[in-house]
Amino acid sequence: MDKKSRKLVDKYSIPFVQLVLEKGEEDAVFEDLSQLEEVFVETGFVSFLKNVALDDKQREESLLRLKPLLTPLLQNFLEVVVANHRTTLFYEMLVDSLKRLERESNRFEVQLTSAYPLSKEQKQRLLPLAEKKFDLKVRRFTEVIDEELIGGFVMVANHKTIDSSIRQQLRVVKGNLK
Amino acid sequence: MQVTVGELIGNFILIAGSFILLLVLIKKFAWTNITTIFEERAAKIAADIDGAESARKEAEQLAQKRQDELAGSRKEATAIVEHAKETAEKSKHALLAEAKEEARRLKEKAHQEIAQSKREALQSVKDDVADLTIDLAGKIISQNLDEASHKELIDRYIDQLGEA
Repeated sequence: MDKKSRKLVDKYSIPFVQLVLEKGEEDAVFEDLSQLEEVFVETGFVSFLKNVALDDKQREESLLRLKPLLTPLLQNFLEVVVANHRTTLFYEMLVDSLKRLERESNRFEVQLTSAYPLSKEQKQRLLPLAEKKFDLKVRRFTEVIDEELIGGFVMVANHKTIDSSIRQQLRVVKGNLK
Repeated sequence: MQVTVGELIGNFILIAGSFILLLVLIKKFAWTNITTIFEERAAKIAADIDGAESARKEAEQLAQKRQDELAGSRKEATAIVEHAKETAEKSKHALLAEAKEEARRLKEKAHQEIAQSKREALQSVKDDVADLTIDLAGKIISQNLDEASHKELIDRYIDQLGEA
């Protein structure tokens, strides 16, 4: 992203996040922002928004269709973006707002990678440990299955990693052998 | 014809008188000039002889000087040649020493490179063995680890994480 776009995104996301924190509606907004992000990526809506062949009206109409599904704060945010014809940067604003909200509220999504899916009980046991080790609040776990770990798990949150996988242990042993 | 004594004496006196007159006249008029001429000639000859003598002496001196200078030049040339020989000899020794040193240095460098290559080869083999060992261990563990074992493993790791 160029500097100008970066500044524009900040201009919208910073006040939005401050408002959410003021109103204490982090939970609802987190949920909406996360879901929107997933949907945008999975459906390719991001490319749609960036398509220069479309005019603003088409983008705005498409975005406004999401309005009924959103919380009031997010609806207002969407209306402001549409009113100012900044729909091409909406996805960036969405992602930036999510990251800011995480940092401000110290509530993060924890990515849990393992070779086999973890049970509910195991995730519940991991939750307080993750919060203690990462010094944050766990907003939710997102699970990723990666058989290359062989066994164990890897937790990633807020640019920090706890790697308790067999793969990592084998790497350490390999390093010691060398 | 017969000549009388008186005629003889008369002729004699005439001739003698003429001769004496000639001598007197020569003495009076020419002798000085003649002697002057002779003296001048003698002086000139003496001077020429002296000049030749001095020229000869000078030539001898010059010749001697030339000889001396030639001898000096020969001596100097000999000294230059000697000096050049000494310099060449020294240079030869210096070059030989340098060549020996260079050869020794190259040999040492070659030994070091061989040792380094050996170390690198050994390390490479060690690394390859480590890689193969770990890959094999990973495959064996992966094959032996079923879902139940994995669940047990996760529980153990969670316990360890809690204790850490």
